[in-house]
Amino acid sequence: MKQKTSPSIALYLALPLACFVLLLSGCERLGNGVVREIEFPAHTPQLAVTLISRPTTDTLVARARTSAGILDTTGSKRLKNALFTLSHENGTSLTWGGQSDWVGGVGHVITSVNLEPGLWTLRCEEENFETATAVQLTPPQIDSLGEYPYAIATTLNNVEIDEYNEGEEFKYVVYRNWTMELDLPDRPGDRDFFVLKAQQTDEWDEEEEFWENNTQISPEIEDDTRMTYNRLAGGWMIEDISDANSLNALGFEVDQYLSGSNLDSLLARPAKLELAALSNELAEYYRTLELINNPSGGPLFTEPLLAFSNMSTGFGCFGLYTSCELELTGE
Amino acid sequence: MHRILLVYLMALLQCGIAIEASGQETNKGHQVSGYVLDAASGEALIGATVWCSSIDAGVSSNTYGYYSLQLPFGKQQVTVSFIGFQAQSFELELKEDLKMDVELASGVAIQEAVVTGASFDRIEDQVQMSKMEIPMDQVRRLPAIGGEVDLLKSLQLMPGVQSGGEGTSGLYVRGGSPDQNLIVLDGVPLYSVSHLFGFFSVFNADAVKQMSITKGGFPARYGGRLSSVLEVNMKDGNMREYHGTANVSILASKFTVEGPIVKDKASFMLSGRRTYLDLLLNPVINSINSNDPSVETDPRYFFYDLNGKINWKIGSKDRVYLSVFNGKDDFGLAATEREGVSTSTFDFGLDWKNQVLAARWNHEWNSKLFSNITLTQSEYNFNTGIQFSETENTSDSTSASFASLYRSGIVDYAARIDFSNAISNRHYLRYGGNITLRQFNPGATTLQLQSGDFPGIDTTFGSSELESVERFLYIEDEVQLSDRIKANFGVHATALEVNGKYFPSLQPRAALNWKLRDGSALKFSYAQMQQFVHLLTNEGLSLPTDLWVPATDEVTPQLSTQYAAGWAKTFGEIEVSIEGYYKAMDGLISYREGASFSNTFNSRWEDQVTQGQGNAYGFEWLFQKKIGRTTGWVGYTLSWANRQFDEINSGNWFPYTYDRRHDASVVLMHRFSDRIDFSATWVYGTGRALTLPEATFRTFLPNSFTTVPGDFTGLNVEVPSEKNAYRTSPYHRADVSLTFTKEKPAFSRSLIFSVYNIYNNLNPFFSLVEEDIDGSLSIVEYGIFPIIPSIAWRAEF
Repeated sequence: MKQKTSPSIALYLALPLACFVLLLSGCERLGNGVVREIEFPAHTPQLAVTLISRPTTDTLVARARTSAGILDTTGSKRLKNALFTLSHENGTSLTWGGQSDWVGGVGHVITSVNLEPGLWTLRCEEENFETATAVQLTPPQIDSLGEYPYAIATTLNNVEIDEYNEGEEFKYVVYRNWTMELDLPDRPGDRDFFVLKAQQTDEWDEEEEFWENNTQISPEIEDDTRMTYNRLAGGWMIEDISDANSLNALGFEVDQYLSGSNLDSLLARPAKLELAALSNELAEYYRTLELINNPSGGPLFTEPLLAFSNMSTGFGCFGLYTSCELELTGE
Repeated sequence: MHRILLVYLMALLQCGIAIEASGQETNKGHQVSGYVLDAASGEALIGATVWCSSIDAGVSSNTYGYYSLQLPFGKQQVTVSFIGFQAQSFELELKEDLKMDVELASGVAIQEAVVTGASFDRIEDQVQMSKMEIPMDQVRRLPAIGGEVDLLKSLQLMPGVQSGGEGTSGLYVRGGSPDQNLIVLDGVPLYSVSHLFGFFSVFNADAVKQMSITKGGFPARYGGRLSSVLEVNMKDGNMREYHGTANVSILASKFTVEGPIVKDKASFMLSGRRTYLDLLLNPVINSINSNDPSVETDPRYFFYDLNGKINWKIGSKDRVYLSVFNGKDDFGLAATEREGVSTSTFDFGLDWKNQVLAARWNHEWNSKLFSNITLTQSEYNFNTGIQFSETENTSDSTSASFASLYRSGIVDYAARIDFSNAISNRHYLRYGGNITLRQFNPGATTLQLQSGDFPGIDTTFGSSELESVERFLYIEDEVQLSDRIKANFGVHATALEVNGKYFPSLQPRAALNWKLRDGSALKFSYAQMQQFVHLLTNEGLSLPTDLWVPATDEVTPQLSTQYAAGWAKTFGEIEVSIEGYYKAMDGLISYREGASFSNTFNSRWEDQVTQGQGNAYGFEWLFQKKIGRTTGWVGYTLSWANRQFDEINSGNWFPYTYDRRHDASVVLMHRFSDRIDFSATWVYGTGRALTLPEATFRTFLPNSFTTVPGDFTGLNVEVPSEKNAYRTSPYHRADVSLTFTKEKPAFSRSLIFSVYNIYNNLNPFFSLVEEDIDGSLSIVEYGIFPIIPSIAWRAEF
């Protein structure tokens, strides 16, 4: 007797057919692909304030913007009526802002400023916004002399001069290479941060297809853990990672490319470097912005990172630095 | 602390010695020992019950099917049983120790009488808690995506074991990460168990005899991982007849053959599987590209795995096993473009490979003492490369090429010895030791550059290779403290030596079973675990690029302490267990904020990670029916899992990515007849935790630190939410499968129809910020697996 449970041929045919119909249905659903839109809580705009400056400067520029929700297509807006107050711990203060101090394309500008050393508090006010505040200690002045000195030793290793004739005019291309050893101050008990970058004084000459004056700087040791390249700062961020005097004997290679028709003038032009001593907060701001802006694993594979902020609203930075120029000559 | 543990270890050793001495003095019976075997194939049956009702005592057969039980003088009734087999009872009156191998005949699973349910093997009688096992017969009947049955996905249906996401085979056990699972194949740890970027595991169900997972209450013989131990044992090979299976599904084909080399003396098993996605998809891709004859493309993707085993009985007391596993994934794309006299080629490849070799020797010293020596090698390698070349085929032909190859890997060489000593029916002592030499290659990149007549570049950089030596000793005693209380006490003593630094540790383990008067049992366990390897991984995706790295003087080992308590009882054919647990973890690693695996290509991996702590706690309910026409289970987990790293999320605690408040599964299997089987599963899980960008602002950075103030560059900055502050949509899905089997005299064949995600619910896989036509932005979740029907054909001879 035939078992009733034996499947019939019709069933064998019906099942593949059903599979095919289901597959089509699935393809249609996959074509859309959307599970849902993620709902965000409404973002309350906050003041995003940036004031990054040297303490001794003719001009201070502060910028106030709004923060914006990620789904807000209009983005961060400038606030021309914002008022800024900078107060020193000894009671002196500066106030500027509003439409009168607004300079288009720049921000809120105050001139003839010389911030004395010590603790400064920045306060930014704008109607309908929570006031933003931040404090900042002026970093010591980095210089070849003084209480926070650097020491430099350079060796000119190579000078190459190529000459070529362009019509009736002679042109010269000069390449110079230095090794540089730099000792930076490292205070016991304090963290010290520096940026060393090449100063780009001349532009790319499109006609000549050569840099008029281009300087590049790179560490002698590739894996020197004391320094990392920061694209936003345009140079090497240097940090004291251990005990005092850990920033001695920092080795660099400096390459300079020059071109022009007057060889003596070219050889007289030094390679210019900028050395800046950053406050801890400013260094952290640069570090986190660099990681956000240039994620090593692309946006998908990089662990999310919150930009550092010392503003009470959590957006922006009040950061001070001191700086000086280093010149490497051909002598 | 270590002094206290040392005292504990000494006390345990003294206790064992004293017990052995007293056991000899008060010996009031003889020992019956031997192997429990499948009558049809001669395969050892793991976990079979040998029970003597008159003394209300019994034992389970070990991984090699070996048992040893002391019987008192006089006539005794002994019953040997195993799920899916007909139980056998013997009346024994021992005048001396007896060696007795028992062969059980396979039963018809729908006959409930097949399984006697000898009381010893009921869940409430086992000291071990937090251990789960799904019979392989049931695993093979579960619905599967593409008809490809997967062991790890079947485990994800059990409470306390969670999947990482849609379609992936990674295991997240009690708030732990996948690297915290010790996955051993025939006693050899495997480092990567994924094929196809995690969608399939490396285990070929046809080659596997048995598997079990332990989530907590780890006995002292286990160590080296924090969260679970998954033991997978390959089939030994039929000792009596040649048998085989062939399986064809829409994704892969596989075969298994097994049989005697010398009847009842030696056997072999060989199994293989290969996917053919490349064979199916390449013609389609090539036809799409055929519009542009100047471009040729050659995409490729396949994986294969091979399992082999030889099993040789050398006399009545010795047995040798040789096992091999080899699996590889190969993914790549090559393209050639011809334009005029120039030809440019591009070739990208990604492959990863696992290889395991094991040799084991069992020896029965006497009726009470059994030993096993294991020598193993386990190797995992990952390679990715990219190559460009451009050639000008002119009279002064020029060529330029660039090639980059990144390699990482890990190799283990290990030797292990284990002793099982059935001192008496009240004390079962296990002890042994292990030494593992581990070689790490945490990533090296080779660059080759050649351009015309210029000197070429050929250089290698990256992290240097590292070696470590891990040693451990263990001792544990499964002891019947009273008629109602059984316990397992043990110590696992281990030490790692790496870069001249030592990491010693003593890890106490304890488990207690307290039988209540109503027949149910309360269970308690405590386990300290230490893990000397870390997996460097991005949480979002499980990729073969994940790096295994050792604990070093800069990155300390992982530690955990787990407490668990539970209640268990069998109601008729249904086992019920409820467990609560709390697990504290330390020394966990994570990429620093802003770091990713690609940083490790050219810098020290230690600089990319930060260490922190975690905790996990929750409750698990399991109702399981293992026998009868209808089998299956209902599982539910209520759990929390959190992490804290000083350098992540401002040092605040945050939910682990796989923190899942609710996780439920229902599994139903029904055998309508010998010819028709039906199975269905439904799963539900709270959405995965994720970090999303929440806000933006604009800031300004100076272009120069020395020149005119006001020369700034503007920068838009995205602000992410608190770490893992958001959740994806909940995950839920139902699958069904229907199997028709037809028996022929020489072989049987089955047709398996299965439907994955039968109600076509699109579950979240990734999310993107999208701009609509009107310019408005939204964050949208996307799914990748809608309803997927599949068909597979299987033959057995």
